Amino acid sequence: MKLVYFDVYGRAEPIRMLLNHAKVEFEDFRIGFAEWPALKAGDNPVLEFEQVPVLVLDNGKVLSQTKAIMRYLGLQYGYLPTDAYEAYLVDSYLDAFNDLMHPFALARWEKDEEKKKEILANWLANTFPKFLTAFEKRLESQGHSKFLVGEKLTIADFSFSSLISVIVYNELSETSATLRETYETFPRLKEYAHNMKEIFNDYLESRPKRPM
Amino acid sequence: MSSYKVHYFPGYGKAEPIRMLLAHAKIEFEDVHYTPETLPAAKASGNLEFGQMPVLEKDGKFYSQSQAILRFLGKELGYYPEDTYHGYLVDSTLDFINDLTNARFKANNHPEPETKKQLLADFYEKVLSNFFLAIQKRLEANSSPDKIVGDKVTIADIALAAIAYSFFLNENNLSKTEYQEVLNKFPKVLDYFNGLGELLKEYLAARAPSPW
Repeated sequence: MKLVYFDVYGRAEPIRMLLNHAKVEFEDFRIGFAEWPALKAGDNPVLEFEQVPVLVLDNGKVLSQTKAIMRYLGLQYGYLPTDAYEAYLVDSYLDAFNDLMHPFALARWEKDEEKKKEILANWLANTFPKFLTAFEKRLESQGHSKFLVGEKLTIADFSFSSLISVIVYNELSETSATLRETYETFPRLKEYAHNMKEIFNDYLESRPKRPM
Repeated sequence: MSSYKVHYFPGYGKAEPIRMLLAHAKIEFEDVHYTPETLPAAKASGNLEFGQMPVLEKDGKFYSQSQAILRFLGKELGYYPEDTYHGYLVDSTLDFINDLTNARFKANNHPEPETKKQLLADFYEKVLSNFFLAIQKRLEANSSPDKIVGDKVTIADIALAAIAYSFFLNENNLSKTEYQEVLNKFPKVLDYFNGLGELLKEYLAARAPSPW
């Protein structure tokens, strides 16, 4: 199995975390930003939508689209609930993470410094707390903060704990300290982060460190 | 018998796949619309989990995140494959449709006129072309030429029908000429969309016109 992505955490990190936890051997192929334009333009059959991450399976099939890959792997390795409503909760978490991060990502690629600061400030003051409030509520109605859904790790946990390890608890990220201040005002989410750090500690310590 | 309500704005947008799925499955539902005036009350009700719409109300319970809703209903009503790889194909279709609408939104809503013009040109020339090409390739690789995955209607067909009849083949869409100029270069995809139109003929004839 070969995972193809840039040399950052980004959208590939939940996949890396899952495969690591499932003890599945895979090649963690990282593209340099300089090589990317040529790779993208080359009508490469591996890049179905000219995007990464893609996962190349042992049978030669190529999977693209992060959430679809996560769901596929979740089914293969037992990280999806069988109950329909719990599956819905996991799915809607993944969708919500995308909604949460989309404006944050836009801020990163904004070239105008003033505009960039504005987008980020707005995201921090409004979007980030809005979603954290909703997630905190879900943990409250669940009655525990061990996992996002149910009694075991699901793809929602890989996605979210990967996310917070990259933007909230990342020494190499310049916005991390500010985000952590907001994040830790949510007690159940804070407890959840602590639980996840315990489960994934070895992986988090040994993986290559990146700012994003 | 369950009762269903779809809560959204009057446009097609992210609710249309849900409406189309229920219609195709011949399930009666109430189509609840909101305006800027009635929206604040909806947000205050606590039923919009992430402060966003659409939400699905099923027997008094609220579900958010359009893709997760589509999958939840799809599984319940027989529009989601059993096979893992087919499931992946369906999921990634939903994801790449989302990528397209995000790119469109970003281009169309850019505040700077020169950048907007450039982004839109790029959207039609590259992003939209690649989108149609990817669909064409998937149709060619599929066992049936008139379904996107497998031999029966899935939520992937429904989601593609929704975007086809909101954007490209929507009489009232302001950019329909630009869309069709690109779509006409992909006759297999146009045929496929027309086929979906046949499947949803009654629903399309009965729904109110909308530019989006």
